[in-house]
Amino acid sequence: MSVVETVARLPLLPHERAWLERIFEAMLPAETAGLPTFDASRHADLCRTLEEATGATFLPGLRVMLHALAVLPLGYAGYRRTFFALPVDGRRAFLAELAREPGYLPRQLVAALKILACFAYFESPFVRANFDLRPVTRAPMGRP
Amino acid sequence: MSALVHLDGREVRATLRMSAEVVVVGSGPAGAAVARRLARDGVRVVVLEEGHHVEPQDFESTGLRAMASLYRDMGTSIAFGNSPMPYLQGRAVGGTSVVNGAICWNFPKPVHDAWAQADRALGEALPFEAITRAETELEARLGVHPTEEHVAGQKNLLMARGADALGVEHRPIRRNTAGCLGSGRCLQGCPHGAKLSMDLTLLPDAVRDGAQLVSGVTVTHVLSDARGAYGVRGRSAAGAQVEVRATRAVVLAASAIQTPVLLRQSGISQGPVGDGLMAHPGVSVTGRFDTVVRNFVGATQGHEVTGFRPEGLKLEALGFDLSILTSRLPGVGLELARRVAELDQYAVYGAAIRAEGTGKVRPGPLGPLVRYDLTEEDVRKARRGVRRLGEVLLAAGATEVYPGIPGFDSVVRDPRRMAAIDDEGSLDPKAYTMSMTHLFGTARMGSDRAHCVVGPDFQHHHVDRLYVADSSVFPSNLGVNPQLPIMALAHLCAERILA
Repeated sequence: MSVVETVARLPLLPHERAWLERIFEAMLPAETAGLPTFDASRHADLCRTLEEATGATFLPGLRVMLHALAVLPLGYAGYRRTFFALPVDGRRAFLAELAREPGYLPRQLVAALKILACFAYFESPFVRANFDLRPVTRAPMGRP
Repeated sequence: MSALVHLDGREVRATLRMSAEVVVVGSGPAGAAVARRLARDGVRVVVLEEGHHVEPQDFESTGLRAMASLYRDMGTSIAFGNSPMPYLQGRAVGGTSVVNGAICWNFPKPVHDAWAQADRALGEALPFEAITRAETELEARLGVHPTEEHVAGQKNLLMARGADALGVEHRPIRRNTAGCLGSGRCLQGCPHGAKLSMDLTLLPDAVRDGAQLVSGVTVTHVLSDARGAYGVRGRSAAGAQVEVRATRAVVLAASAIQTPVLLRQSGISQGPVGDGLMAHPGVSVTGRFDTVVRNFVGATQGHEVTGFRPEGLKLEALGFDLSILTSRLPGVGLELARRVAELDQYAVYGAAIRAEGTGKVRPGPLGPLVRYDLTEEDVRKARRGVRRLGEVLLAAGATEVYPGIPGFDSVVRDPRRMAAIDDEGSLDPKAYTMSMTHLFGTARMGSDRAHCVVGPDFQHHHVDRLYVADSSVFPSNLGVNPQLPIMALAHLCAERILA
C-alpha cells in the first residue's frame, strides 16, 4: 500500500465515530414514529466495515463531510453553534434545512450521510423484524 | 475451498507460478463466457478473479454487508464530471452477475447496424447472425425467460397496471433465473441460488471441462515483449506474488473500468485506451401508495416499460434492501422516521438512459480515476425520465410521487404537474441524482488502428496474443441491459482465439 493510500485509510478517530452516531440519531429519530431505535452496539462494526470495504477515497471524503457539517450551522441564522453543540431538535432541524438547500454540495452531504444512517439502522435484526420480508411465494418453482 | 475454486488467494502466502494456454482476467459474464467456450474445446485455461467465492447460502442479507462483501469498494466508486455519480460493479467469483437484476436483453439489431455502418470490417467480422447464435445458446444454458406473475410482487404488477393505464408498451423482464421465490434479493446475491449467475452456470461448465479458477488475485500487469503477450502478474489477497504464463493468449475481461487501467499500468497505452467511456446513467423516482407494496420483496427487477425507448429511456421496477429503499424516501429527521413507519407503501422505479455522454478512465494513486460528462441532451433525457417515471407511478395508483429535482415541486399528485417538468425542470446536470451502470467503450474495437484499441478479432492492435473480451470493446452503448450481449461477444472472442 502506498503512503498516500495508507494515510487515506487511517481509521476514523473516536470523536468522529461519536459524531456519526449523533448524526444517525438526528437523521432517523425512529423512536418518534414508534419504531425501534438504532442498535448502538453495532456502530463499531459499521465503522470497521466502512474503513475496510470502501474505496480509498471514501474515508477522506467522509471526514470532510463530518467536519463540514460540524461547522456549517455557525453560518446559519437561528443556529450559530457547531452542529454537535446543538440540542437534538436543532440538529434535526438543521439537517432538514440543509436538505432543502438548492446548492449541490449541501444536498449531497445530507444524501450521503442519510445512506449511512439507513445502513446503520437496518443492520439490527430487531429493526428488520418489523418488516415482512417473506418472499412472495413459499415454494421453489420448477426450472422453466 | 469450494469445488469451483482451484485456489483461494487468501490462502496463497508464497509466490505462485502457473501456466496455461490461455489466462483470463475476470470471472464475470465476459470472462466466464470466454473460459467456458475455450475449455469446451480442450484448451487449458486459468481464470483469475479479484473477488472471492461466496456460496448462495452465505450471501449477506443486509444492504451494508452485501455491498461490503460483493461490490467493488462497497459501491462507493465515483465517476467525476458535470454530474458526479457512483458506478456499481460486482467483485466476486461471477463478477457483476452475482449482484445484478438478472435482466437479459438481446443485442439490438439497430446498434449492430450502426456499428457495421461506421466500420464495415467490424460488421463483417461480427455478423449479427453469429451474435444471435451465441445468444441463443447462452439463453438456453441460463434459463432466460419472462418473470412469472406469481413471483413478481406488487411493485412489478403495479408498473404493468400503470403502463396499461397510459397505453404504453411494457412487459415482464426476461431474466436468467430458475426457481425464483420472489425474495427481492438479487442485488445482495440470491440466497436460494435461483439467479443463474456465472458462479452457478458458465464457470462450473468451464471447470468441469478442465479450467482452473483462482479467486482472490488482483492482476496488476500484463506481461508482454516484442512477440506479444505471454502472461500476467499480480498479487494474492494474502500478499504473495502470482504469475501466470500463457502460451496462446491473454484475455482481459475485467470490466470497462479495470481493463483500461490494467493496460495502462502495463505500459500498453497505444490507441485511445481508457477514452470513450459510455454508459447508461439512471434516475429513479419514489412513489407512495395507499396500499401495501412491499418494494423489498418480489422479483427485484421483474417488469419494464419499453414504450419510451424512442425517447432514449427504458423504465424498470427497482427492488432494494430496506436500508437502500429508506435512503430513497424524501425527507430527513422526523419526516423520514414517519415515512419509515409506512415503508411497505413505497415503490421505486428507475429509468436507464441511453446517454451520448462520454468519459475517460485512468490509473490513479488511490484507484481508477473516472471522469464522465453528460451532454445537454442527456440531461433532457434524465428530466424526461423523471417525468415518465412519475406518470407511470401515478397511473399505477400512487397518491404521491417525489421528483427530487431542486426548484421543482417536492411532491406531485397530479399527472399534469409531472408533464410540467419538461418546461420547469432544471437543466443543470447536478440537479439529478443519478447512478451509472453498464459501462462500455474504453478499449474499443474496430479496424482503424489509430482510433481503436483492439481489432474486429478482439486482439490488441499492437500486442499479439492479447485479447479484450469485456464491454470495453463495445464501440457504443446499447440502450439495453448488456449482460447477454457481453457474454455473446465474449463467446465469439473465444472462437477467434480457437480459430
